[in-house]
Amino acid sequence: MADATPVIAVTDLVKTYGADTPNPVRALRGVSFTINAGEFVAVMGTSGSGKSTLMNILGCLDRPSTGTYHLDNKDVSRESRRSLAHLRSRALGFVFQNFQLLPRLTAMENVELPLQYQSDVSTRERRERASGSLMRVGLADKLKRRPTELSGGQQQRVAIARALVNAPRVLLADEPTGNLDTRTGLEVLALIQRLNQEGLTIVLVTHENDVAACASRKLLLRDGKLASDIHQKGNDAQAELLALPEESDDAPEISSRASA
Amino acid sequence: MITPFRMAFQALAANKLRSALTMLGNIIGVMCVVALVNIGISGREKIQGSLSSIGQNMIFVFPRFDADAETSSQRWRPLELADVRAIAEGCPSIAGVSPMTDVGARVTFGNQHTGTQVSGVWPSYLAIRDWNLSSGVPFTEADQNAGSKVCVLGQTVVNDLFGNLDPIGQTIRINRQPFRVLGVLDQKGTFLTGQDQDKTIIAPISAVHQRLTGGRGVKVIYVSARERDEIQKVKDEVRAAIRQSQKIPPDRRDSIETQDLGSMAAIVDNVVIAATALLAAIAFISLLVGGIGIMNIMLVSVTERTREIGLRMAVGATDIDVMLQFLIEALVLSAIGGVFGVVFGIGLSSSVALLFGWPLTVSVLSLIVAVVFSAAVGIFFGLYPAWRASQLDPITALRHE
Repeated sequence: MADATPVIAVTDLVKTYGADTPNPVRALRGVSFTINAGEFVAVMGTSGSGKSTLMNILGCLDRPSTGTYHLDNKDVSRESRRSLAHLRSRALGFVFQNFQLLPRLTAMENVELPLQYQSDVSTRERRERASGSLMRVGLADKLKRRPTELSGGQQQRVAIARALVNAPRVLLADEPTGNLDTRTGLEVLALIQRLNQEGLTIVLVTHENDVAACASRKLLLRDGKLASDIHQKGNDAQAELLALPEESDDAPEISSRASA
Repeated sequence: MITPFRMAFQALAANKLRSALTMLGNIIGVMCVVALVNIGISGREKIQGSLSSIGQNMIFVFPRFDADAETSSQRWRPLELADVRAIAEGCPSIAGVSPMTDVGARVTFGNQHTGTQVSGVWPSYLAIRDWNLSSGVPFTEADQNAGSKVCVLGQTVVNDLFGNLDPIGQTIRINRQPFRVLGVLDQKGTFLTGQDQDKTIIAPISAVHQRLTGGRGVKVIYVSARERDEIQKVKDEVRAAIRQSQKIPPDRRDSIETQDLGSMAAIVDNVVIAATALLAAIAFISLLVGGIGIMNIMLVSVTERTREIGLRMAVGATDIDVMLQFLIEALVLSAIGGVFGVVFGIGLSSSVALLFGWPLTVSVLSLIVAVVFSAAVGIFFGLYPAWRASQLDPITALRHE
């Protein structure tokens, strides 16, 4: 399923915090890898291994101290704050552990948010794309709900819809199942897997082996260095979900493909 | 540009009480500015209207008390008809001149009676005071020369003596002397001091001297200039004419004083404007304090919404987007506060105007200035919190609890 076009290519990535202090923290000590379009990569590591730092750099929220980062064959490691913001709004989608939805806004408005920072997207187009995106994650009937009126799994799916709305090149997910129970976690994972099968490149940070097992490739970081890089056949999260003992609830139909 | 404003409204609506309290500073500030300025303008119009009811381009001439003079006749020299004639002949720039002397009198018609001032003047007096007749005719030069016992009545006197009867041609008695009524004056209303300007009778000064006062004195001389900007010139001519007629040596000061409405109006104006400006300045200070309130709340808001800012940045908001968002919030807060302030301010100044019977005036300029200033205060004091927000690091902002 992965063609051979690199979406992400990092070379000798080094990130040192407090370089001019007596005790600099060397979070990344020279990491290199490429990720091709359509891959589903899990980044693993203990806390302090540098995976958050790597994620921030891949997400264009931070810049490496040295080394290069090519996103879509373009070196973005020395871009300005402003053009990094531009990249985030056009090329990247974020999913966070704690959802990061704005409580005042409806699901629809939360999903619209990234498009508000693209001045060439009209209000109408923004609405259409937002509702399309929510349909894609199976929440077509929750457009007007506010985050507090949604379950944790539903909130995370709104967050995924928000990450999808700008048709990103890469979806970056930072512990997306960390705040969810097993069942909802699997539901979200199944959704991510499905999006990957539809062609979306995914980089997912986790410290849970079960979660990483669903990816097609596993990058293990240790002390700021790449310790292992394993290609694998990912477990089917949907199958695992179905294998769970039945609960009384009305589990939403993740497998239904609402979008074309 | 609609979306950021809608976003600002949403953010402010999420904290209604806080937003309202934050606006209060600007509401009160703008209300005070608008109310004070418009009350000042109304009051000034009332005063100006009152002053011009005395007569336009008019100059009073009255004797001056000179405490430094050697003899008593030099200290206080009463005006005489000769002085009036000297002005009439020696002042080419005047439009008119008239002596005036008045006397309190008991006036009767039939079994009705009233007490009033009777003013003895020349026929030119009415023109000097811009006073027209509502009916009848004025007395003439011939009446003045002959000392005819004729008069014109103010509206209040007509009401007191005649009720609904037509007074023209009737004979009234002023201190028992019969005077024939020639005309009735237009209503002038009350003067600033509350004095009823229509409670008056005007008669030829010759008749007043002969029949009522028994003397030949002149209390005040009324002079009018043709144009407003000739008032000073007329004053100079009057002083020169009086000096000449009274043969005052060059080393002695004038025996008279001249005063015009312009100088009175200017004094009133200065007082009113100074008071209005002072109060408005205080009100502007309260607007500044309101601005500090906005800054305070915006700083709190930025801290509270650190994660929101981080998220917006993560999904593509630039520094400028974030800065604009908070600036617009501050602007919306202060502009809405300004609009409420304008409404309350107009309400307040209108109530005051109604209460005192002043003309209802609203200076549009004052409204615009107040709202613009209020908005500017919002932007100015919103700038720092907005800048702080825009400088947040998205990574730490997202982790903020």
